[in-house]
Amino acid sequence: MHFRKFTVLNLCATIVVFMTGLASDATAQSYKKSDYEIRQNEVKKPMVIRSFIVGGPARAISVGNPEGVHYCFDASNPRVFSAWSGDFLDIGPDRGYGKGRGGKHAKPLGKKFSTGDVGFPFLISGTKPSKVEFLGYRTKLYPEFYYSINDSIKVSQLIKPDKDSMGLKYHFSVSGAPKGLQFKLDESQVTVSSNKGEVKNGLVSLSPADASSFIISVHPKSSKSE
Amino acid sequence: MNFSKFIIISCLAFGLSISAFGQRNDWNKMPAGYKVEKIATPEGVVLGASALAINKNDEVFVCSREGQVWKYKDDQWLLVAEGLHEPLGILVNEKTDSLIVVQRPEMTELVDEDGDGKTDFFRTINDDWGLTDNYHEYAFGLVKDTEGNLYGTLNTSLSWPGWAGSDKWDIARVHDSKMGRAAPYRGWSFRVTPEGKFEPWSSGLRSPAGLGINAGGDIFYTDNQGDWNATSSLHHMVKGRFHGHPSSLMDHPDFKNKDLNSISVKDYQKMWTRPAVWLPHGQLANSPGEPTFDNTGGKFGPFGGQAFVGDQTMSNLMRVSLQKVKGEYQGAVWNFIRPLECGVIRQVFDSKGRLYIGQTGRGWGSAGKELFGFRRITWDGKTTPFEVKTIRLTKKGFRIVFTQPVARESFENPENIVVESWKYKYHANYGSPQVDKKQLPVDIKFSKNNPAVVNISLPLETERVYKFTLNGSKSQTDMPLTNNIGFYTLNNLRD
Repeated sequence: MHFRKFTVLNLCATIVVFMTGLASDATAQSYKKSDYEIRQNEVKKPMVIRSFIVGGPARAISVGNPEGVHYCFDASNPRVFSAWSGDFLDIGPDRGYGKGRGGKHAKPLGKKFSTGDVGFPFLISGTKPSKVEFLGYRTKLYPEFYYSINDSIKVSQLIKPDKDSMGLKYHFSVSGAPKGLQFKLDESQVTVSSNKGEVKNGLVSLSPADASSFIISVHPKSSKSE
Repeated sequence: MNFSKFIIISCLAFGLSISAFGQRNDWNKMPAGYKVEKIATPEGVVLGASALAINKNDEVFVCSREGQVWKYKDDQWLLVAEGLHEPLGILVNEKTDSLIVVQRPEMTELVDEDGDGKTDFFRTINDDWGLTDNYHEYAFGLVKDTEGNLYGTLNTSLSWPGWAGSDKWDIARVHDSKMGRAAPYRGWSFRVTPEGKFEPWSSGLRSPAGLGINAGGDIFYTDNQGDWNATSSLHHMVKGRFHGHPSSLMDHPDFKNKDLNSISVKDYQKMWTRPAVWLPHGQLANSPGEPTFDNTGGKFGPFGGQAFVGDQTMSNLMRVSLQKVKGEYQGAVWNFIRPLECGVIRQVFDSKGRLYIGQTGRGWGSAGKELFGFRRITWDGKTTPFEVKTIRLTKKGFRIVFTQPVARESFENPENIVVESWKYKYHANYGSPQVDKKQLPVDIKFSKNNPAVVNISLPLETERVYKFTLNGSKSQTDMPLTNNIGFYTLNNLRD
């Protein structure tokens, strides 16, 4: 069985894969380069793959979504770093295409679109926080990422693809939010909207009450970002 | 590109040495009473076994270089987690039944919150070490001490542009060696406290592919032959120690703002703590994995307390017996089982004293036909193999202890025990030849009290490896030795 088929199998969340007495003969297998390309139709539920990725940070977390909108999250400076649509990922360079040492950069497939990345997006009264720490993620269905700001502010960020148009929705909940919490992206690249707080020139200002639960939508302004 | 050329050349070199092994008709070794079983891995899955752990129910957890974690018991497999970044260490957290893995970017707890056996929560325990996108920057582990501290090791960066294919990682290469330090704490061992705090532990590591802890709580790691490391080696990992590779000193507080290239090889050598045991390159090991100590209470045969170490290139399992001399570990190493069809880098004992081994060879030129594998080694509980159990340094020579009483007549000729010794060079070059090699005159005396002991006297010198070749040795039951070649690393003499 090829790796690609197995990837699909892996995606079935509820399958408890018990395999009894089935010998896999590693010597007889040969892998085609395309076996490592995860196509859109193989992403049956959100899948999380950590590896180096072309153009991405070393602590990259790539997430493929069945809706065909994929992104890379940076665990060293927690935020969505990049996004693309269409096919998901060529993981072959990470796996040495079945025979090499691997550990090389996976390639995002499909078409890149901007997420307005400006580095860490949260500000406190206009100032970048001095300390940000990544705390992990949950994978119930869509991944939810956790990080802290200046130790006391805890952020959880559930990331969903926007079903209706190309883009991403960030379901945030922030505990310990101070006054003056802001969220900022590059407004020349993306349209930012929020269901709470005030939005002005790509800057979302949130009261501590707003910050406990809010949704930010991010859409690229044009396809020029390619 | 230069780097791909290097891969081809090293593959050729491996190929040659592997075919050279094949020509030796005494290459295959299997001690009496032991058997090796191949365990079928999940069909269709590439399972480059990169870390093993076991829980109190004897369920084995297998990490793969492909980023998955599988649970194995009674020939059934369950996928526990996937999407990890080349995890190379795993432990069971007995308190919570969760798993702790070390992957390239971080140490992570894998928590199954809904009880379906699959990980839902990937909790980052610590990610305070530096990481670039250099493929050589592996993170290895994991060992836990009695206080709950977790220990791991961090590979140096492949920094020489000629091999790396870029100059972006060319940081802290010392005296034109190949590996460097492109990010903080590359080339360090570390520990993470129960509170999750990162503490740099010892420096000077190169490619420290595995760790182990003995019954007394002392932690050891193996390193691979290469720049600044004459041959593969086993080291006692003590806080503050410098193990030999200088690039890591860039993160040492005593070397802040110092030009590491202005320090001479001789001065580095003075700071260096020698490995407890050298694992001679090409004879025993080219790229060793973790040491696993036998604390099975005799369930795995007569080698209790000793460490078993696999090798990724030679696809064998070695056996190490340590001795403390002047307060420091040194000791002897033999082959144990060879070959195992694929590189061996991880081992774990279950409660019955069976040794599981995790195997991978992808991209590193392992001997054998398989790209990955998972095997179980079992001792039958009754057959005592005829092997050298230990070699201990005495004041005048060595005490060789066999697993069975020896047939004295098989030691009567001078060629029955041949002892050679040599030194290794400490330098920035890739590996060292054996230098100042000598064959030594040996005087044999049998022990009056113990028929399984042969004492030998010979000239002793420090900082040398002693190779023992036993030709024709037999037990009183007329068994030949399975592994007749051992190597003792003599760092210190007895008072």
